[in-house]
Amino acid sequence: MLWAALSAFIMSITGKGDDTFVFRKTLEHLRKTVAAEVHDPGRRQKANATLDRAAAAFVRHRQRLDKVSKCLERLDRTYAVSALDYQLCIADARPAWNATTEELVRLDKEFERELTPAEYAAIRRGARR
Amino acid sequence: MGGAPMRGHPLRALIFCLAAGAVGCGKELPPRLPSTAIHDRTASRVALVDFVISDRERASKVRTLYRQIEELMREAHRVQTSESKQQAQLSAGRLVSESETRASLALSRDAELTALERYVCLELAIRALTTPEEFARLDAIK
Repeated sequence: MLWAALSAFIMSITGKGDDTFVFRKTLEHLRKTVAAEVHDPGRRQKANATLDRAAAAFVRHRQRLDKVSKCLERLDRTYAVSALDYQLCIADARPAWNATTEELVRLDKEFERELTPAEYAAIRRGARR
Repeated sequence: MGGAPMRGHPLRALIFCLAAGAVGCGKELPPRLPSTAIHDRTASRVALVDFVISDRERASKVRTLYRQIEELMREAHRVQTSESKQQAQLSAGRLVSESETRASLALSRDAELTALERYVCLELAIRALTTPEEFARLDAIK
């Protein structure tokens, strides 16, 4: 359920390309859905805290990848570079993706545990709208 | 997101972020993917190759290489878009298993990494076709 939204966080790809604005919209929508569907203050607080952590994970993911981007840009501006120089930049990309995947899978499980099955189902339906 | 997570009111964290202009929820959006940054950087150079490289044959080859880089990055985005849509469709009908989501994200990751690997070869080929002076002039294009 939440995973569909979280994967959108990671990729934030739309028909128009890489659109990080999608991330902000998706987060806002999920928060509204939680507010509408989770009436118990304790569970709502936990669910929102998990969303906070998911949002932070996405930003950290993009910041890690941004280091790769900046490294590549520096090489693109340099005439005398080798394949190894580029490989050293790119080497950080895979661990960044893997770490974020693990973190979001864990957060997704936490999110499910924090809610009742009915709330979870309602948010699942709401996340698609 | 600077500062500790805001708890309690469902929208408090978002309101806090909007007020603080923090990364990811304020005016400053999270950084773009490397493939997006490369695509945009390359696109700005394609049309200007002829102004920098006077030799038509070499200019044509360099232009082709830049276009190949653009296409590589677009292809990575196509795969990622497709995976994202497929995930959304799957989750609409049933709960998606952990292994399915991992596999889907691995495809997206690999699309990005494959594009980056090929782009390295193309970037090195561009250097083989340009002089340091031409390269510096192309680099000056923003």
